[in-house]
Amino acid sequence: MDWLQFWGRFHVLALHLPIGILVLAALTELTYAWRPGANRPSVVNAMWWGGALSAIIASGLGYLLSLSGGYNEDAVELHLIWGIATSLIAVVGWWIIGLKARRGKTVVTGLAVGQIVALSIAGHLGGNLTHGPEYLFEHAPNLVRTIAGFAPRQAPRPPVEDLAQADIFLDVVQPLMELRCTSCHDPSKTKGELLLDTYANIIAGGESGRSVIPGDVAGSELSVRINHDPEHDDFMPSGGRTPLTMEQTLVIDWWIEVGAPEAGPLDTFELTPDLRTLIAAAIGAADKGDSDATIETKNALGLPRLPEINPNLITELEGLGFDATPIAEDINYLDIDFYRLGEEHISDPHLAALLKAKDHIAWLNLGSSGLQDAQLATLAHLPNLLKLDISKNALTDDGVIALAPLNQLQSLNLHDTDITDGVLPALDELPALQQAFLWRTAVTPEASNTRDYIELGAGFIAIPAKDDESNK
Amino acid sequence: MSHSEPLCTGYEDTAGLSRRSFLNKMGMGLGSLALADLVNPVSALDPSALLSSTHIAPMAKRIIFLYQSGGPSQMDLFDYKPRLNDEHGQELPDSVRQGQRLTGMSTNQSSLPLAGSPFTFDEYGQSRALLSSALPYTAQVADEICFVKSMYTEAINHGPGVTMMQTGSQIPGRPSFGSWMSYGLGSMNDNLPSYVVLKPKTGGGQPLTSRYWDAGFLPGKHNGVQFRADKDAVLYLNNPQGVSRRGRHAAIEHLQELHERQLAETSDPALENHIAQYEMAFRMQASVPEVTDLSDEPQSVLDLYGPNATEPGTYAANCLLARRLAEKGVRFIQVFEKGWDAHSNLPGNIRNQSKKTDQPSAALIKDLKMRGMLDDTLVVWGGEFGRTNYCQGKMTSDNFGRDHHPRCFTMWMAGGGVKPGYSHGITDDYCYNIVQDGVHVHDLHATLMHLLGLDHERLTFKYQGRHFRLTDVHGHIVKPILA
Repeated sequence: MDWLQFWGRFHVLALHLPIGILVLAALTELTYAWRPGANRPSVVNAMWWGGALSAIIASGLGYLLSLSGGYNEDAVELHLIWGIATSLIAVVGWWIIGLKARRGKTVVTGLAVGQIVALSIAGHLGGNLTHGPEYLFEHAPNLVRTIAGFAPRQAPRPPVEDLAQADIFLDVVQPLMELRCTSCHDPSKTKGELLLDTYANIIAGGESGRSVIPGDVAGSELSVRINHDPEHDDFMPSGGRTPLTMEQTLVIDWWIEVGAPEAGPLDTFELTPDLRTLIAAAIGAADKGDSDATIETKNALGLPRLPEINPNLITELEGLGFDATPIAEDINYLDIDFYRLGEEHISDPHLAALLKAKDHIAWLNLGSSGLQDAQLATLAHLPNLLKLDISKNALTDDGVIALAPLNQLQSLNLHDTDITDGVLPALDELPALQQAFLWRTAVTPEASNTRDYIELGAGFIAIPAKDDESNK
Repeated sequence: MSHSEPLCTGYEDTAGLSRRSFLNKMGMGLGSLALADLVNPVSALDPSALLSSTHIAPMAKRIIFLYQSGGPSQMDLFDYKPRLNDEHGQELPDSVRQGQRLTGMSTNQSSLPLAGSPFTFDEYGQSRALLSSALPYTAQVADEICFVKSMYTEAINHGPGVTMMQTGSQIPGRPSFGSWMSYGLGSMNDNLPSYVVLKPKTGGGQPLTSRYWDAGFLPGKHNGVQFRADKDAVLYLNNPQGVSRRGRHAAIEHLQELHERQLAETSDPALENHIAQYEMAFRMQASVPEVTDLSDEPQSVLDLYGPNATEPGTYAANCLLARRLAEKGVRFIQVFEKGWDAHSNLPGNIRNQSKKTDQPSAALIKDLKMRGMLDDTLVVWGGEFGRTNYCQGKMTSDNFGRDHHPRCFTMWMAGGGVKPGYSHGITDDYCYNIVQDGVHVHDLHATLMHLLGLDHERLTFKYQGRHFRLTDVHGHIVKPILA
């Protein structure tokens, strides 16, 4: 059986020979038949002969290939019939025109045209088997598509830019269906007799009844199935396919709850801020999973997507005593720590290595590393730094002010340093800063109280615990 | 020595290739398998991660697990049940017990009278967390804490209970949680082990044996390392008398050369492990004294942890040491406290235990928060099970005991990635069954791993022909408690 399959796969190689040879034979015959007085060379006989032989071989190999299964049987049968027809016409052409030398216009034209037609049909059916019936006309102009019996292609919807103007079905629900549902619930598979490709089909439902009952989330099979525990037999998407995210299921439930409308811009529905975030997250996630959609430019950390980190850079960092790890599988940013023994300090080679990886560093912990004021200017060149811990170092205002260019910085840990209120105006200017830890510095409560981002932490020290009666 | 047949150890036959030599041969093409090992020239010595990165971005980089051995009483500390006070002394209804098995200690009791809590409850913080008067310090940080009041387990006695919490199985032999984390994440600081265990120096209570922090079938370098409250925090680290540190280093280097030679012939993963441990021990000669020396702690911080902070081996000192280890990049630190097993004299027991643990536990949260470490450090507090709502033994006007109860108990978490000022799960009015949002120990493990950036279904180790997981075939991430 393995041998049969081995030879069967040569079908796709062999089939191109009869196509070329027989088309050439047919065109040559036509040329000489319609030009009075032309002397037909005998090599045309060889063309028929070679074409017939290669067509028979290709058909035989094709039959072997079909034994391996995996193709629509009806389509294979049709292809086989036309393949055999092609071979037969070639044999007849060789015999009648070549051997019997009956070269009248009618006979030659009939056989040549018949040969080309059979060849084209067989070839087209074969192509459909391999690439699918959509393949040929996928990029055809709409006029051609209509003639060929396909629905005109729809213009892709532009990516959602303003959530308020996004269409509740076309921009929210349908993309989710296409992302996670229609690979099984579309006309080519129709699993569970359910189609989720169009609004009408979603509403129509399938084998288990109606899939969506507008306004009734609990009664809608679609909602029930996607909200099951993933271990549940009825959970959808089934078979371990990627499930919808929590946001996506909540958004579909919301759509059903508001009556499963077929269309309408989102701002006509009452959108709470929570709901907006939810919808944005749901369709944002949809973009990520769909290769045709626009590729997100930001990763989960809100940083630009970068190519993979050069492994040699990580080697170099680790060799210097850093612990450098990509933050996650699909996030090409590093989390770098420097936990060494007391006497090992950050030095110029360390800073140089950090600079080499500068675009890739998102989290950096140089706490208690002997860092000096003068070295902070280097850290200001790490454009994508989100978290920086430089606590427990002898740093002063003069050094810390140099961090001003870090416009992505969200968290800055400066506890146990020698900074004073003088550095706060510089911190105020950091656009993304959400929190700064300034415990055990000379920063005064007066100066920190007016700034939301400061976590002084000293408050905890001051609170005495109340002793409760029952505790004695 | 020639290559001998592998023993029947249950480990995968590596066909003469240990993981390290396999990776070395395959080179960078398999970078995703063990980047840390590949890229580090001293990779064999680095007890580092299997993974080149976590599966998802971690919310916590380390965990401090404050293990309360014995089973703290949920209804006297966290889970306010006034109905027990109303029905104090009345029989536990069968409709509530629903055939739950009893331990051998109360199974012969003719009556199971309900016992109300002798402690008063109040709301604390903006989150209005209900807490018992036994926890005045925890009350101060209530807004940082995420309480899970619907924990449950199947174990009904300490051994299986602790083993379940530690390893995800009631039967001893599986790797402990910390070992799995060490195996998956590796160490951030190769001068210290990635899993450190701190035990109380004194006090009775249920025994805490080293199998609770054992690496099981994982490579031995992932064992929890116990730091002792003694002159030598880690035993057998010091050089013998008359041997200098340099001399020691030379000896270890030479030994390593010999090991490498043998490794080239036999490819024994256990030998790689040996090399790693010799090197680690040498580095710990310097790192351990540094981390256990409290002389650089300001008095205000010592005061925060309470009067016992400087007394080695107390819960307070262990909490402080846990913070110092976390600050040095140790991944998983487990502080054990004993003595919560209040079969009798429960009111007194709770007062005593709270006095020992309440202030230091809260101090740890405060301390981490002040240092900006609470964002990526997860503090977990809890024991192996809860206690019964009915009295075990004799009930007097001001004294009674409580037996083991697996069907519901409370744990709390704070920091790295959990929702602060939040309470998850509801138990019934008798504090006996869970009414809503039960969280099994497997679910807790899955959630903790998620917070560390690990997919509990993907971190596996093949042993005896099977891919083992910490959560076995169970575990669901408890999404509502994620921040």
